[in-house]
Amino acid sequence: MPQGVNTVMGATTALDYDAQLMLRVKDGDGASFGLLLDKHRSPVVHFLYRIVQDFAIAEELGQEVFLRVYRSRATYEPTARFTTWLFRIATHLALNWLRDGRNERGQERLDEDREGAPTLQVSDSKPSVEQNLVYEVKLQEVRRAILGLPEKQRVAVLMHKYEEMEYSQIAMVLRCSESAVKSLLFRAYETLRARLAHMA
Amino acid sequence: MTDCPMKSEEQMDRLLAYCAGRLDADTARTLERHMDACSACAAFRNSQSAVWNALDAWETPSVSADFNRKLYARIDAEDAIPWYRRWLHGVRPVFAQPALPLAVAALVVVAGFQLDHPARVTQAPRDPVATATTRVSVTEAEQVEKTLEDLEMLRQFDVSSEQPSEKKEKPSKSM
Repeated sequence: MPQGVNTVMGATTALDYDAQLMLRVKDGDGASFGLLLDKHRSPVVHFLYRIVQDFAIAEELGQEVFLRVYRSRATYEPTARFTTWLFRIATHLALNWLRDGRNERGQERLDEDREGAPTLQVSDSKPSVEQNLVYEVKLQEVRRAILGLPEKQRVAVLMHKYEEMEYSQIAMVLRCSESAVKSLLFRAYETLRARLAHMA
Repeated sequence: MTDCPMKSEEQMDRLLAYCAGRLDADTARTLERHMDACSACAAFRNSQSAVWNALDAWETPSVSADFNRKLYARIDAEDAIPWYRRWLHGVRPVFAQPALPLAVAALVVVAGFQLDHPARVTQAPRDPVATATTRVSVTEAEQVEKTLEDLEMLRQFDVSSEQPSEKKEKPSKSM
């Protein structure tokens, strides 16, 4: 464990394992960066994919997220949980990408076939053509419903549903209060209930 | 449970947590007993569960096998860049803002003009109040100066006109 860990742990209540790894990266331990990458690569890329809805872009942004983590290693301070910091970077990059208007082509793709996207590993038994079609229609509806949410609501739902983050952590990522997060989530789920309830 | 979770937003998050399967067993059982009697909460649970299941259907592809290789290649490429170029790369986004280069260009033009025409720039009064005040004080000084000159001229005229009479009187006085 690097020297800084004990002092930081004394200052805060507890330091999560990822933050300890990141402090080792700060001290020049490349292997710890590899551990962090292996652990968080999939959650980060999947989170980005659900925001930008283009897997190639999501992987590109995911690389940028980890590149920024690596670049910031010298100035890293474990003031919050590592995943909070990581998802804040990811959210920032994804929302910037959306705001830059570079998503137009990605949204057009919703109406197209999933050309070029990696094949999904749905289940062991091969689904029939009809089952595939039903699944695709259902997926399109879910993607459209998520895409129809305002940016912050969308990010809050994705973190709450798929990353299983607590309100406090979502609040730190979005830089707002816990009550604001609750409000965002209630409004988002209310919209989704209206759009997706028929899929029960 | 006595309070209905539907009554306030604060309490409703308990119901959301239940639908997400994040409530502890005891609280979940209490809530289930409540939902048996409360139709509003039961309806909420059903619609929210439908949303939850629909979102579960959104599976994601696996991350590319060469993700790490590409990332490490980018890291190596970045490490190979000299520090000053990395610094310039970091500064470049600031200069990518359209207003900043224009402001810098305007400053350079103004600075160049000042260096080229130092006297004109420094002499030119910019404050309209100060300009007016200066103009007024200059005019007043000119007027005072002219008045003094007139007075001096009159005095000299008086002196010159008085001198012959004195000459005339002197003899009479001596007489």
